[in-house]
Amino acid sequence: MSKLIILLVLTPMITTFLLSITAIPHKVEQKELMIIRTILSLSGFSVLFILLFLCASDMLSGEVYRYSLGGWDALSGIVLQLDILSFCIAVLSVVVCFFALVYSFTFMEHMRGLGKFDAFFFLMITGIMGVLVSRDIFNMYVFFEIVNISVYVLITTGRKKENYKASLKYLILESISSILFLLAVGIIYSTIGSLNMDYIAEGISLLRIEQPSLIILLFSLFFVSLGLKFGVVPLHFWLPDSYFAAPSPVSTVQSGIVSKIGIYAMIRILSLFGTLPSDMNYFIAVMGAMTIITGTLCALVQTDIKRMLAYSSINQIGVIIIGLGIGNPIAMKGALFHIMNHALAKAGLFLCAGILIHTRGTRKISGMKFKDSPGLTLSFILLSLSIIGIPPLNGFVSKLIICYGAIGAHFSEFTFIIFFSSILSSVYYFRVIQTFFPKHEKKALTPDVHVSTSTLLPIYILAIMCLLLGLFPDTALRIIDIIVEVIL
Amino acid sequence: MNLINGISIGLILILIGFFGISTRKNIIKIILSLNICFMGIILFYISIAYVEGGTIPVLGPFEPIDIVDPLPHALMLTTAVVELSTTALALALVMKVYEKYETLNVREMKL
Repeated sequence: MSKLIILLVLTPMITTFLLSITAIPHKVEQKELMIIRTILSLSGFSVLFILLFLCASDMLSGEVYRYSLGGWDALSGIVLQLDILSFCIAVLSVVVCFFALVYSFTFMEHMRGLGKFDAFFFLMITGIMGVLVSRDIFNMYVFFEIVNISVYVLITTGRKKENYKASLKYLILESISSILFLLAVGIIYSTIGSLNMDYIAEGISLLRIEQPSLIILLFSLFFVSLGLKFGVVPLHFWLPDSYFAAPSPVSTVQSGIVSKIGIYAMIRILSLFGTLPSDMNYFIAVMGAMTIITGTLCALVQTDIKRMLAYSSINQIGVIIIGLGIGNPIAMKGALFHIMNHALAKAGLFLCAGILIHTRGTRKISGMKFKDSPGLTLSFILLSLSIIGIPPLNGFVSKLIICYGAIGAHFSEFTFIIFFSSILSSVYYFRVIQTFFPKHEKKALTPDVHVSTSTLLPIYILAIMCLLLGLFPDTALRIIDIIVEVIL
Repeated sequence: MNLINGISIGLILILIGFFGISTRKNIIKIILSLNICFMGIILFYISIAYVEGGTIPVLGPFEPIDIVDPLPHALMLTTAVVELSTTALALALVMKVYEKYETLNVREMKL
């Protein structure tokens, strides 16, 4: 069964190559090519779902799959490992990527003409799966680069002026992040002599007594490099531009999954360092608090809907970092649950924003009042209430658990910050929600652009998932309990 | 111990690259600075593997202590390929940006 791991990486890779064949100029009609691409991508996703389903029962009982590539021993070879943490994030990413692709079937029709979009979308999934299963730290870097390169190309599919600029900015900053990551990996290899995470964890526990300053250097290199990937506050400046410029399905995946992959790598790296000294924990939590405050205050003044959602992402990532920083099992549980909730809810919101921009013809929040379809209105309200953290929804549950953890670790000032950011989040989300309800019914404009059902369906499903996770969080929390037991 | 070795030169190259990225205004010079950084990384890794008086890592009548560690070289081949593709993509993007904004100065590219 452990050979399934390699298939998880290979399936999207093979789909990428098959899809890129359809991008070569053919004599086949454009319409037939579209159908071929749709069938190929749907079959790629169905194989991925089947593979994940086959792993599910073993994973949920806490088993770990290992596979060493080429039969090399773990000291110098590449080991792939699938445990319950990577399995859960893999399921989450495949679900969100599936919804984003289904949405883009109709929404991005004009941009998908060249076949570039689908091929690079699957290349990105290859990279995501690779990061999730690799146990070798250098291999993780290589798969991160695959994710990044495909995201650079995906951002440019909007073909506007700002797309190219945002893509270039993202490219330069992610290259800096890779340089720092590689430097840290090099230092690890020269001192410990292996790139496998199990050996690194052992080596670091020995080094802690001999060379504590080296540990601090390694930690800060990893923190800055991964912080650039998920946008911790002094390093967040590329994020609003790239989420703003990218086409909506791409910013959905960027905010929902690609930033979460950075956080996943952070969890793995933190587990290498063992139990951190409490001032280090406090430092991470303070960075999270700064991220929350900056994200909230910047989101308040935005006039553009996608920029506002981008700053709101920064805000929620701060909540997750506080949960990781506090470091006791309860807060960790909250942080993992918040990763899931934020991925689902923010993905839905970015998809909604795409439709709103399309039908209203403007990116500005204020201005004309519109009467959108009731389904879209209801799901936008549900998803934004979930991000704010209003009781019957899932965002509330995870924020509450993080607050419990913070009080348990005597870091109660962070509960205040999370509470404060929730109140201010409601201010900027309600600014969007009020445009759905025009004061004078007759003067309101009804959008004349038709939105097809396949575009709206992913949003409905995401909203229903948020509601169900909020009403019945027990099942998800039980799985997260197993994760916390495995990684701590 | 000699201070002028591959590791220190590699680190200095990385710092020169960072200086270039943060001070240059021309986008092509920024990309060249990134390349200098990656060169520094490659030199750093190759110097980690270096063994004084070591020979090539091919099977032969050597003691295991005499050979240069081959793993960092293999890693750096991968990094060189990644860097090549990133640079190629970056230059393609620069072409597009120049087409749209008609400038290569990063300060003059307003949204």
